[in-house]
Amino acid sequence: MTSGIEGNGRSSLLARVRGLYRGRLRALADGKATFASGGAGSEASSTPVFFVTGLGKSGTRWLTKILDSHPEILCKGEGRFFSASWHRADLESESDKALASSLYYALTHSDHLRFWIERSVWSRDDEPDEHLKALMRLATDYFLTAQLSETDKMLVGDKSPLQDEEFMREVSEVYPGAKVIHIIRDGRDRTVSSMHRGWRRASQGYLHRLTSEELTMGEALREDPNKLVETGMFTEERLRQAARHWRLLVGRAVRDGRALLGPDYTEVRYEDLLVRPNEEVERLLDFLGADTEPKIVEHCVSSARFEKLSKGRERGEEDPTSFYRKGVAGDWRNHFTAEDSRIFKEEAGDLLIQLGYEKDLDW
Amino acid sequence: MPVFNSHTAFEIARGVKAFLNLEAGLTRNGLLDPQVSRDKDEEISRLRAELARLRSAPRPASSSTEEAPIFFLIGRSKSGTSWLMRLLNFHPEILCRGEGMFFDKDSPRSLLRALSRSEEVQTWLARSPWTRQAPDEGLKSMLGTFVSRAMMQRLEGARGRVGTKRIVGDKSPFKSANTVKDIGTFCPGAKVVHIIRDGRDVAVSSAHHRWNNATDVGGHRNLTPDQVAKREAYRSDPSAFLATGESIFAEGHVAEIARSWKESVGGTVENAASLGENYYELRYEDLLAEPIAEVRRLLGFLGADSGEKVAKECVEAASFEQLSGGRAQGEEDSSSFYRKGIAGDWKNHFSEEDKRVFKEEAGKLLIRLGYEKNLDW
Repeated sequence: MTSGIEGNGRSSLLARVRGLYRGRLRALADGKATFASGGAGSEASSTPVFFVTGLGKSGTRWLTKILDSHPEILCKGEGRFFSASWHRADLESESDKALASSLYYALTHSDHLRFWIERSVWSRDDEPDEHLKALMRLATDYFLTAQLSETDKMLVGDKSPLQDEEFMREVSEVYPGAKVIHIIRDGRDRTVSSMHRGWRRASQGYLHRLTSEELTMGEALREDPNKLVETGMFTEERLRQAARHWRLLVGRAVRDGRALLGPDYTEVRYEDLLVRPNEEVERLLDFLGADTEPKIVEHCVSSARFEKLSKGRERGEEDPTSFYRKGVAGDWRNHFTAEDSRIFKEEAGDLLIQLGYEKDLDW
Repeated sequence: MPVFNSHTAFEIARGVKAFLNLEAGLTRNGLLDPQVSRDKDEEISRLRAELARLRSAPRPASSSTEEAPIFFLIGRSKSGTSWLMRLLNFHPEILCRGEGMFFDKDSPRSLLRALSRSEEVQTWLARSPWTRQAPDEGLKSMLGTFVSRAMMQRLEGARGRVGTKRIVGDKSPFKSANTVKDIGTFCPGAKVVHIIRDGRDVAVSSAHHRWNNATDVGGHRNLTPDQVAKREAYRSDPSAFLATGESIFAEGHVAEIARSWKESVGGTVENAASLGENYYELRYEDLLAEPIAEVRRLLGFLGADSGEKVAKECVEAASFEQLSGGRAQGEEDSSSFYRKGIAGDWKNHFSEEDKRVFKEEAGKLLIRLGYEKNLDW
């Protein structure tokens, strides 16, 4: 591509690149006028902000670590900015261990705030929701960039789990221009992982939503891992619910992400990240506009290797008490009974096909 | 103080990368001599430093009001804030509305209070990994940005109707000296206009205001039967009532107003010191006596056209006759928001006891503000 460039041509090309870059810096500096003159809010943005999302137990935390180890990227979680429907009452507890409601929920459900917006001379003529959206945007912007500015990194991202099916729509409305990476994992594996997580949390005294039947099953499994080969590890209700949840949330995120965010949206598979990490990470870094130098990619991948995260275990070597339990793909085959497969197929077989995890329903 | 746009910044990141890749390619192909490469290294690190500098500049929230021509018109209630708001709003370049009630978390109607009182918001601020260090700071910047955004949006709207509007102000009376402090914190760089009125006239005006907002005439304030009787007696024949030497004030009301006037007005003057040149004070009394000169000075402070002609138009449009719907200044309608519109009316209303109480509570501030030379009045 550069072979034809000689002499003056070469230096003028360099000058052009330099000029372009300087121009961009200037544009960046001039951006300060955006807010003051525009005022409408949506175009007033700050730094390159992105969100990593995915259903729980799909590798969001792993991906977060990979990205955060990049010298130009600050990525952590969970900010829980979006998901206006997600609030603490979901957990039916006021315990300190309960997570805070999403910021969007907090802002849209503050009666005092809504009351002010509906009454103030500065906002009462508009849709209150538009002002709440603006407030949400400004707050998110503020919090992310405030921490970014304390580092010498260039990009900042929050890892927020997919809490409901409106995530992509909310991002597109509140934060146009933000990038979203959606990590997807085979729904069967994440259901297995999620069940282990439930047992782990219950045994460690955290909030959980398991029934006593499930707790008993968990104990049995811990005593003798082979005990559940015939009965399986799920109650029918749990499995149906998990499959349905995966189908609804992941299905909607894929559809909305592509349709509403377009080029600002990308997906990555947990499974692909396992088999060809460097290639996938390079693609994601390129999507974010970060440096994709092979050495850096390698650094990111190796800083978040399973061995490192699990403090010494190899991938596949299971520790049911660890957040980084086993780290493999296809583990559902070791856990699903024929009945489990039938149920999952019934609830979410179509999405497995759509996402390419299966060719048909004959599995 | 950049508030830059995310696409631009993404492009920059990409630009750095393209630059580096290009360099790598050129070097690989032997097209780049080492000297050029060194120059470029320097340039890249310089550009990166510049980017870092831009990023570490103060937060967008605090900068937005520096860029935006925003001002806040404040004052103790019954000190002429509404009059001045209307006057300024007539100016072709100014949009001035009220009452935003953005600040002071002790004020029941304020936005700051709404955010501070939302348990969900507070919990989020306390627990988010993005805020753990300083939840209050976060709330502050968020609020400041939101305030200026809301005001700028209104200004845009007004510009659709009157193309010359380019300065926007909110008029909100304050309850305490916190308001001016909050403005300095949340909207640094915004201009503040403080209108001050003789506390004794404020007291008289407040007494009438209370009467007008009593529950028996559709208001929200509970009056004792005693007070209602007083009001009716005054209204049927003001001079006869005043001649009796009886106070128009409810028990303890003079002391209460004198105290709050001293604390809020005196405190505001003190707290405003940190605003420096962005703070402007004017007197209700001066605005009455020398309206055009006063308005011209104020317009100059706000950066608006302060020509004699436009100042005169504003003053006339907001004259007492206009606002009161035809009464001459001094012609009282006890039941009107624009009741009498004069200075020194306290002399007709204050009983000897009222004077003593006021002197005790706020006599010194009257002297400090130049309303009296001493306590012998």
